[in-house]
Amino acid sequence: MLTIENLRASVEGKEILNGISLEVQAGEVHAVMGPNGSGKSTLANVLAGRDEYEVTGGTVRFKGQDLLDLEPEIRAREGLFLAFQYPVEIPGVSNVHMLKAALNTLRKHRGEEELDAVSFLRLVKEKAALVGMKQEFLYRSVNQGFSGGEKKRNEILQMSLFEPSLSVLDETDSGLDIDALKIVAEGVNSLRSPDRAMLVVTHYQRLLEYIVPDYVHVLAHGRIIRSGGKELAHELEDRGYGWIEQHARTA
Amino acid sequence: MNEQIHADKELASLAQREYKEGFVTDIDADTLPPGLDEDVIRTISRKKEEPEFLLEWRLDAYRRWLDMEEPGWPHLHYPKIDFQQISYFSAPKQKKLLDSLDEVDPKLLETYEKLGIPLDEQKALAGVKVAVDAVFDSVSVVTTFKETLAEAGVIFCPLSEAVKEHPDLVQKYLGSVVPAGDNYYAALNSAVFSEGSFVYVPKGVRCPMELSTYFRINAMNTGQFERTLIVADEDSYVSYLEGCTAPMRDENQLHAAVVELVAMKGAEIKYSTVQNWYPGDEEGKGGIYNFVTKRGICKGGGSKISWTQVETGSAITWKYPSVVLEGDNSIGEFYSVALTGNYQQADTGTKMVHIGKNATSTIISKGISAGHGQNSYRGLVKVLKGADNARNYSQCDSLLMGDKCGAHTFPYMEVKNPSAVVEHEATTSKISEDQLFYCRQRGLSEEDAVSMIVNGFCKEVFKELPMEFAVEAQKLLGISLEGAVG
Amino acid sequence: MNLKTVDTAGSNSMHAQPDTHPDPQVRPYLDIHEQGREALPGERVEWHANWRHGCLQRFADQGFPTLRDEEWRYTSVRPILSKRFAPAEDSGLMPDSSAYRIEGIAHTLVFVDGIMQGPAAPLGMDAGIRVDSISRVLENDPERIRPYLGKSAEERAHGFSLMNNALYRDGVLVEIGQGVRSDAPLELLFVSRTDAALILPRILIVARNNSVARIVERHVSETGTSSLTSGVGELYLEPGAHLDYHLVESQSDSAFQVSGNWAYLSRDSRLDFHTTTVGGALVRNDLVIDMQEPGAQCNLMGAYCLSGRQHVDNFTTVVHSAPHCSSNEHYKGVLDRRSRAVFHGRIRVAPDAQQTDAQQANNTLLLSPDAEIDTKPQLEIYANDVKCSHGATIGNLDEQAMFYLKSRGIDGDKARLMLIRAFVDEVLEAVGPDSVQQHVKALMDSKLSRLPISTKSG
Repeated sequence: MLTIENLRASVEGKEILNGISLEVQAGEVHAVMGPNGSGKSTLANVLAGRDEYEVTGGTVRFKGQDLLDLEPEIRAREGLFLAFQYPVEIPGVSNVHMLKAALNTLRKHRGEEELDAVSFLRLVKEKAALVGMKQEFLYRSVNQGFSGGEKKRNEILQMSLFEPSLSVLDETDSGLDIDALKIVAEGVNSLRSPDRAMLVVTHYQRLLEYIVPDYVHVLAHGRIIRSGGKELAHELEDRGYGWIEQHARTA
Repeated sequence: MNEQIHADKELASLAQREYKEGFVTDIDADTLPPGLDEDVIRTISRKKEEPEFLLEWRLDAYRRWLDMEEPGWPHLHYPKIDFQQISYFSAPKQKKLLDSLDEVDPKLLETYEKLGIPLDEQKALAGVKVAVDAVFDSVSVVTTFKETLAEAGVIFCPLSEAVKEHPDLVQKYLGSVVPAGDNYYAALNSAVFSEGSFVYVPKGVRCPMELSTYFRINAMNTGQFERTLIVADEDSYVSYLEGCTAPMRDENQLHAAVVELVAMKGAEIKYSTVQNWYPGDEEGKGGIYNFVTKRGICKGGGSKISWTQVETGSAITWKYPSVVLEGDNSIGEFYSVALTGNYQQADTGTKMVHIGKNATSTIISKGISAGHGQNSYRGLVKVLKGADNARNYSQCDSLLMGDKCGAHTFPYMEVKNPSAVVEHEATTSKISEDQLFYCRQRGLSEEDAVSMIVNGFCKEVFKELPMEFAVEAQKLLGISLEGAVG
Repeated sequence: MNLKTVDTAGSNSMHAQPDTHPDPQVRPYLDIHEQGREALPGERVEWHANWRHGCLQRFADQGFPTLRDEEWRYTSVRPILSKRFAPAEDSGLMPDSSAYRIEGIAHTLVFVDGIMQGPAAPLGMDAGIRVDSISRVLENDPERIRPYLGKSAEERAHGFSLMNNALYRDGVLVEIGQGVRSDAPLELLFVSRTDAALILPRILIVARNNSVARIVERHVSETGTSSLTSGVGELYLEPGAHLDYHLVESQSDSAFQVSGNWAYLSRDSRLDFHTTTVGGALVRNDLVIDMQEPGAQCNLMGAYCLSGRQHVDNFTTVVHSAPHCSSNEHYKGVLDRRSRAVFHGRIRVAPDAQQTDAQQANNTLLLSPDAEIDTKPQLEIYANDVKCSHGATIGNLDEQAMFYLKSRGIDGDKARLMLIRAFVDEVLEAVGPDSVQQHVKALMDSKLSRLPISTKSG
């Protein structure tokens, strides 16, 4: 589904990604872990196509296409979803309106019929219940006045509504208490299926208790220094990032 | 960085949208040669078969105007207007006033059909009922639903007709809110005003449908000087809409209107405007100079006047719909969206003058600047000595798109009563790259994302517009409809 | 719309011929120039003489502002113009400065009726801070101040500041050396002694790279004199400099004051400017901050408490000329009796000044049915990547808070004072040096205790 080869990227002239290679197959959940400044969020944002990040080398193929060649909205329509670390507030634009506009754009792209207001509302209410979001949040301005947990829930709501083939979760656990984390994780897990893949970017192992990955990659200084199964996450939790960095250097 | 450039490009294209109303109707017209003197005023008055008092009133206004100077304080730049180069009267040739559509020149009907203005009552019946007074250059072409309204006791007719049919009402209220010598453009209007609408809603009557006037400038080198007078008697209610368009021409054309509203005890007037005069081309050539004086007076206790405006057209806009809160417990509101793109300039806002006790006023202004547009909010909140417990809340937000435009805010607050609470907030910002990227990541095109964000920015004002107008307003901003499910 | 018109037309090219000048309000001041010409400093320094003459010419052409000037629409200077003011003779007597002393301020320069008393440099000052008389510098080393003196006149200037430029006799130059960091405030104390004196303070401050200093400019009167103070201050902040400036106006209630301060901020410099006004019959404070280079920041704080028929007009202009600058402005006022305050806050963001952060607020308490506040914020924004906001509130004391205090057994007058003091404290607490903070608080308390507080709550 996703093939990253030797990806390099910089921000304002500073190299952040130093040659990342990663292969994600349909049905797999990959976790990318790493200390602050290791390039985790950069990877997520480069995949989504944020302009401030300049790709300086390497290739990314997504469902057989050159991903880096596509505009951000085309990537989204092709099924790449980014759950933001800091979802932005958009005053005056009601959540439900944004969701409907976005969903119908996706459906149109997939050659499906656009949903009318009634069937859309039915669907969105159902999904909101799934992530434990109160209905009033649907009618509020996008993310405005939402708490950290509510914002993240809103991200997962969108994810379950759009049913993306590849979901990139950027630090979705940051700022969540354990109850919120569980709900978010349930939402994510309900989306796991053989034809979808996920890339879970996180600093802490905590999230991976609830979203159990098939593979774990450790990122440091813009490179993957170690890959392994889910037990790698536990090892990291026990021994810290210092251990693995040292390990990588001596190896 | 690039996001912003994209956004700017996007808005530039919005602001440069094609002006669909820019066609010219080829019709024979009775047009006065350019120039202004007392004879011209006498001619206008004669053509309209006016009573003596009105001619005297016009001449008095003209003499005052001669002594006045064009105001220099607005944040506007334009070449000096040569008032002798303008024609002050133009009417499509047709017989008198018409009661039936069948007698209206088909070219005129076609014009309004092209503009999407429902003049056919039968057709209108199918949809939402709106009574329309269609003003073409200096005369009213037709007024619809007059009979239905008459049954409710509501008078809705061209002002020139009201002068003949209801001279007492006209004499009593004309100039009572905006006196002939109020300001430079109001004085000019008082001298040469040609057409406009007159509305009288009797005591206790809730006007059964929305009233609207549609203004169209067609003739070349002609100014439009309409004058609208709305009187809502005790405990009545009326909602009035105003729309305007003009052909695309290279020359600037002058529009100097006066609107007067009178709300008696317990009455409510809701006045909405979607202003879409020709704004000029992308180089700033042509466009309407829109110098308008709009003022309402809440005369009686508990009365309410609400102005809502969406200003997207005109090369120059100079307009401050105001409310004089004379009655105790009266309410004044002003909701405004002003978009300036290309080389458009707007200096617009409101005045809320608190005289009575316990009066409340609200001001919500949203300015959007793009291209080389210059957008200024100018508003005055004045609390006089006896105006106990006056309350005002003002909010002015500006959205900037592109690095060649400007957004300016000039609120004035003058308070002479210690029990007043006056609050003012203003912000200026741009569409953030984060907001745009977020929307794009959800699959929306930049165009849709910008539209959606701009629409969200204006939402507080759009929700004040009658449904039909809200749709038109959003379309005007090039914005896809929001709210169908929200 | 009858918002008043601005008189944009420049006046006719009239020449400064005092005896024939048609404006009777301007003529006496042109006479003063004519008569005192010989004594004016810098007349033999060509650039200075030219500049001074240019300003005189402009003053003669322009005269004093009127209500027709948009920038003076709420302040009539008629009360000033109806009196005659002239420079006072140097009495040679030092005032009893202990009467004005502020506890904790060690370095004070005293000016009586605008004339500097004693040697320029106060004893015990930080050696890195050079204090000189401007007339002496003009005599000995005029080039030293050439880049600075009189720059404020390059912009649009009103009659009062032009008059100062044309007539000023002396002033003070404070140069804070590179890297000098001084916590001890230097005080410039202006005492007005003679009735009808024309006082023309001239202050020039140059804060060199990375210096830190505190200046207090204070105006007091001896026994109820009615003088006219028309001052000009020019402040230059070089890169990284931090200047903490306090303008304290506690002159007599019959004094007139029109003071203008212009500040020019270089890269990463910071200006904190505090204005406290309790005295004066008619006071107009012009404050113009030009942030010329990236990274500059300014904090403008104002507090005023007025009674009787006092009229105070704070007219601030903050210009963001460069990107990445921030400005924060907060003025708070308490108005009693028939007093009137005007706040005019202009913020201009130039086309290239991206990433600007400009905040402004003006809050006023109206305590009397005869008091008046006119507030006019003004944002002019030509850049698109900015964060600008301003807010204004006008109101009376919070009834609920009043009730709460009363229900706790505090009597009404005391409760009212507590709330008023809490209202202005927000601004006073920001005054940096303790000594000055104590002083302005004491001024405020003394003023508040004298207020009749004419409204009843409720």
